[in-house]
Amino acid sequence: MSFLSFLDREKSIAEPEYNRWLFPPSALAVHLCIGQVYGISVFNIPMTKLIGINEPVKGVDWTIPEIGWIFSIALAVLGISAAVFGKWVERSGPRKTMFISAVCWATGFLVSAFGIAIHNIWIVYFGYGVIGGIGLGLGYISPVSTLMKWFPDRPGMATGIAIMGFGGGAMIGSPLAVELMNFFKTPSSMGVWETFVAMGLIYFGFMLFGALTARIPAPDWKPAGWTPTLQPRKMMTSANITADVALKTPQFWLLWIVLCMNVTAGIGVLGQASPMIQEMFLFKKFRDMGLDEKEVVKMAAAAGGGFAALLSLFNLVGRFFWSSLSDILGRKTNYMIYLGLGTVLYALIPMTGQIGSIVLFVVLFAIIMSMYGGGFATIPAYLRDMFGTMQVGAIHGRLLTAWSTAAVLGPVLVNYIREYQINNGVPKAEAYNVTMYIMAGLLVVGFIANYLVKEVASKYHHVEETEPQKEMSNSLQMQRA
Amino acid sequence: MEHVTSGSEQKSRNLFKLIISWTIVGVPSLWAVWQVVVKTVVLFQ
Repeated sequence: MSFLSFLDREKSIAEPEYNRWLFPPSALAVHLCIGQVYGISVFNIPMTKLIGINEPVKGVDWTIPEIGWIFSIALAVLGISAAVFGKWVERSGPRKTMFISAVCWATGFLVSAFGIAIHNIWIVYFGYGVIGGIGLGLGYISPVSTLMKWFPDRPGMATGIAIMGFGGGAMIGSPLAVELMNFFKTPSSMGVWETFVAMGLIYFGFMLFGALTARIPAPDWKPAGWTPTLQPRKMMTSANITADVALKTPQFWLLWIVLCMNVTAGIGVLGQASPMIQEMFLFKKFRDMGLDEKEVVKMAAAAGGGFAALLSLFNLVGRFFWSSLSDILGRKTNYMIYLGLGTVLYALIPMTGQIGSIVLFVVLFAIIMSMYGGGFATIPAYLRDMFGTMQVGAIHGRLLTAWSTAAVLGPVLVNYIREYQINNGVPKAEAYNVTMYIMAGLLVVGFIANYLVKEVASKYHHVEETEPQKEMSNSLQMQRA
Repeated sequence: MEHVTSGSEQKSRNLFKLIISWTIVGVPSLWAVWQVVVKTVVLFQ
């Protein structure tokens, strides 16, 4: 379609005077929108009362587990679409990819709004989960790989900016959804489908800004005053490895394990953070203050929500801080810290309950969450160091299947272990201890995998055909034809 | 007649674009951080 040709990769190559700091806002505009997926739980309660309005109608209204699948499908499709379309993303450039991501994300909201209006959850699964999930996958990897091309001197910091945006998406999306639902709520409607329509349109506008302002550097472009070192640092290749070949290297699968273990541990406790602090500390604290039970529950829930919000802030800041630090320390060292220090901190959490120190509990969790975010943000730069920039977006896309796996594994592991213990008579406040030790064990597995990561062997390097070679292969093809 | 952009004109144009772009993404981000700060205050009260 020629009228959409302005989206082509060739049309989005930046002019020489373009300031590279103009690209991070474009990337952030997309990531801040798609990051809303982490705040989808804000719709959980309202969606259980779409028919009953004041109370859920049993057997008619949707249940929380049914609604929970929307998030799981979206994250699973994120990983799959990033893996499947990764090479296309590299070929098409950021503008076209970000535009299509915007179309998918907004369409996902609009289709879901229709599903909510006629009360058909399968339409919501298809809309938000599948169509929106494709928007998530495309929108996640494209800005990240482009940022690494704009900031070859500071790739960790650059990807940290974008992935910090993804972490911040829920922080914007959740309160925005609450405000909109309050605005649209009537005696006969929870205001949910109207909110989906409004959010779809708002996000489309925002992401369109990101797509239209996106530029890629010219092939021979490099930052002013920066010259690539001829002798690259240890664990940093100057060669390129294609996405297909990367799958054949042990490094790819070791990094897959590293990401999967780090995210499984983090995601598992992130969802449990609020009930955990309430059961370990807050109920006792408010009861000791002499409050009646109703007040205790109310106060604990409010404080638990505050704790979850604080963790999301550390998750966000950690993405930028740790990823930027990796430009100095090196990616492998950074992951040694995330996984090594993380193991110690997870193992110390039960001790905070025993000594009754809520401050220490909050501090430990804040550091853990910052490193969880850091793990997400540093992985693209780690991939770039290992496999070069040529198809890093596609390789990143394939690695995100580790995230999809962890998104299922983490919550299931935590919930199952907790239920098992409570059913076996372990007090609620102590039921998290074993979970913490298991999470620490997962990080040990990740630590070993990271330790085993070495430079990719030269036999995997992509070799560019020289002009005579190209001519020869062209003439051979013509002869065969 | 072709208009040739001078270096300083280009610089101020870039600066203007930078301010606009960062404001567009910065304002909602700061609003979100503020929401978190308000909620967190409850935890330490």
